[in-house]
Amino acid sequence: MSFKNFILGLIATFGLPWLLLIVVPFAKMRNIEPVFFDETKDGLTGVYTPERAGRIANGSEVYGANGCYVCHSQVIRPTYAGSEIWRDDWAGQKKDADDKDTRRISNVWDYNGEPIAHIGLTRVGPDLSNAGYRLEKKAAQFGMTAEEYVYTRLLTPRSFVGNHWSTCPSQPQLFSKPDAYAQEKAYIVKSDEGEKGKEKSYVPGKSAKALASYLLSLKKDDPIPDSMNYRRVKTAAN
Amino acid sequence: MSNQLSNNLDSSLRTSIDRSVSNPVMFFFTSGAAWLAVAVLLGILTSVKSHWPSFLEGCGALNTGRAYIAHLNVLIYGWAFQAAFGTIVWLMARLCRKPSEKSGVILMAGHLWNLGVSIGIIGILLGKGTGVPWMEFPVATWVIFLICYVLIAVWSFIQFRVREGGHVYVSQWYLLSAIFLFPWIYGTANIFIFVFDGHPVMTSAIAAWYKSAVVLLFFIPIAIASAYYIAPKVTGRPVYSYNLAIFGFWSLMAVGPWAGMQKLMGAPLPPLLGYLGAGAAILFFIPAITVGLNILMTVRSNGERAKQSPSLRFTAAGIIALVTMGIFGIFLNLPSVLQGVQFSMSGYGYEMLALYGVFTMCMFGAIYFIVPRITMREWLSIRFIKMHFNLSVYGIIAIVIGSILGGYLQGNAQQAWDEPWMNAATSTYAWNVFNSFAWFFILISNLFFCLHLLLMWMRLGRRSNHPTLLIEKHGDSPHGLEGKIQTT
Amino acid sequence: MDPKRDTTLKRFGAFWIGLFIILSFGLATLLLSPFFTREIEDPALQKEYDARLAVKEEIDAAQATQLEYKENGESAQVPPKQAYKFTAKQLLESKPTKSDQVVPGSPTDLELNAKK
Repeated sequence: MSFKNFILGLIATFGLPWLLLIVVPFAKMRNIEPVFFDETKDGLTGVYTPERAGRIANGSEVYGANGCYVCHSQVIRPTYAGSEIWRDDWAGQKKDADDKDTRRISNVWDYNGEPIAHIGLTRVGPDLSNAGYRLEKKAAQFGMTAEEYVYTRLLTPRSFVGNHWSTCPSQPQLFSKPDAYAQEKAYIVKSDEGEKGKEKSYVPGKSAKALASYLLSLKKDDPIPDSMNYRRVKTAAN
Repeated sequence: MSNQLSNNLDSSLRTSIDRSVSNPVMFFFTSGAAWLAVAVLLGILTSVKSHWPSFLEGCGALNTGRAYIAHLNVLIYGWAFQAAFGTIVWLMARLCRKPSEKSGVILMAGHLWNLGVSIGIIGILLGKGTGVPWMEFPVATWVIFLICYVLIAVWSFIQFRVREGGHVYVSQWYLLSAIFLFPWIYGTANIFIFVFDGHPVMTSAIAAWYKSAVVLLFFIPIAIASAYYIAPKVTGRPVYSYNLAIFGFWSLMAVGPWAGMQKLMGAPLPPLLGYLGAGAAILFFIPAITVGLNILMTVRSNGERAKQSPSLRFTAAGIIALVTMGIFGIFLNLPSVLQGVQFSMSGYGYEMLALYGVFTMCMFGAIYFIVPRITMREWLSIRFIKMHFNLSVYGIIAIVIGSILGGYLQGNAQQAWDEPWMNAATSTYAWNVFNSFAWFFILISNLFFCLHLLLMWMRLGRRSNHPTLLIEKHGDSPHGLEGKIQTT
Repeated sequence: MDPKRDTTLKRFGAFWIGLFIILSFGLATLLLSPFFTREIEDPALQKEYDARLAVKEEIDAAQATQLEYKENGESAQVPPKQAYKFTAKQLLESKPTKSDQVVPGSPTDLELNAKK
């Protein structure tokens, strides 16, 4: 083969997937058609735009910089690709306040506000799509505020009952010692040796606050339009 | 008589080529080996933290996440790229029979690349990583890397264009394709991820594509280029089949760029992208087995040499790993298996098989071949080479089997949704410990390698006509008859 | 051996060809970039944006009335952006007056202290 044919061959074999896998999907996904609620089927109107309350952009940055995506995923796959939707509290709430099952698979709007979707590399730890609910529940169980629970979990992941097996790393770099004259609330955290461990005070830094806000915002079980719902339950209406 | 004359001319041409590239190539190999040692240390750290999380807990900069990221990035951008550069520069110069006139520029670009990697690693450990897998270096560094790359690789292309007429070697196809494909892949990934404003899931998909493409279309071709040079050269036999060579090359080019997005199977992305990725990852077995067959049959035609020659031994091991990679690729990307292993440690095992098993072993083969020629000295110790080889092979087999098998079991446990998550999380404990030991053995092997390379770099190698061969019998001294030291 | 293959011109040309091939997909991306950087117009979402903007403007207007210039007795409330200008003007217009403050160490101070 001549050099010209070689280069043309290379351009062709690379260029086609470049177009079909990268360029075209990228351009199309920049402008996804919005899905509207149907008042009769969903009881809601308007465009479906899930919103999460919290510091999503900043928190996502801290999440990425500390490699949380290495051990945690953030995607609930449809059943042909995975079984996690059936785990009790991963895909939403099995029983919310109204006794409804709000669990659903991830959709394209679930990652709005983040520069990159932290789909994740492995699941050493649980999927975090709906970590917000689990963190709040645990916080209530231990009688702490949600933020306090998250900070304590970040500093001493194994200090809570039932978590001794966790291999989540401690994140002391996100916290600092409180100043003697500080007015900020310092969190008392025991080291992992339990009662015998030393008590230390820590003040969450900017990154810790952003990360905690981000983790508590992870709730992806809001109601979706019937037209996008793959778990439709047969009712008299349909 | 004229044969003798042309042999001498040939030999002096080869020597002049070697001398012209010796500075940058030796730099790349020694600097790369140093980064490899750092990468292996970080690998041990990451592995230990995965089963002993309170190890070095107080040092937040080295938390498991950052350690893992640093480990991979040092391995790839510190070791793998520099080993690749050293091989490209030397191999293209030799195959085109052209000395390099731009060694100074290449060396400077190499130092700049080192600076970029250092800044990048420090950035990651200080918490400035970007969060994009395999592209975690602070964003500004990618322009530096691209410029350095052009300043290192474009001269090899020029050498190809002005080469003497005649045969184009198979290695040259692979080198050329790698030289051009990498900037296309790297530029595309960086522009679409960091410059353009796109959908977050698509950004993640392109990152996954980059990860696969840089392995299949840059590192694997360079490993194969080195193998297609060393196998016929050391055995003294021609390549087994030219047709297989052509088919192997174009099938890799055809299949390689499609793989990668199967990592996002099930994510809110058009499912076609995931299935195309999985399909391509499965079809990778075609070029893998083709090249494997071609090289290993060439080696088999003079199997004695594989026992004697360090370069051929390492290269053969690397190509066996390539065939293994093709076979595991089929298994790991079947949709039924992918469900479980998608988020398990199998992915890491497969990456290590590609980066260490195939690429690094072939690069070791290249280094054991090239360094004596550019330093005009022979390797000092057969035992060092054997320790390096044996411990590397045991280590990488352990890591690959441990991670892939452990990952498969972990995946099954993950899929059992009615069991508590603790079962899946703790199922990898034994495999993690196993991996830590394996990385430790690889560290020891690399200490032997680095020490040996350092001695060669310091020009303390043997001066001899006889290459250092892995001969079993102690009586056959590599120093020639009756211990006579020959000076050349 | 074919020395004619290796000329400076050929090397020069090869450099630029090589550079062009290396950057080819980057150039292609640049040419296609309008497809990735256009602002997206969507009438359905635009209505929601307009509604939100209208609310924002209403609030801005209401808040702006609170920030106008007001005098209250001896002092004045000045819009934030004009605060420095206003104060500077006042200072320029005023004349320096005699002050009651005594500078420690000045002759006046020493006199007073001597008297004590």
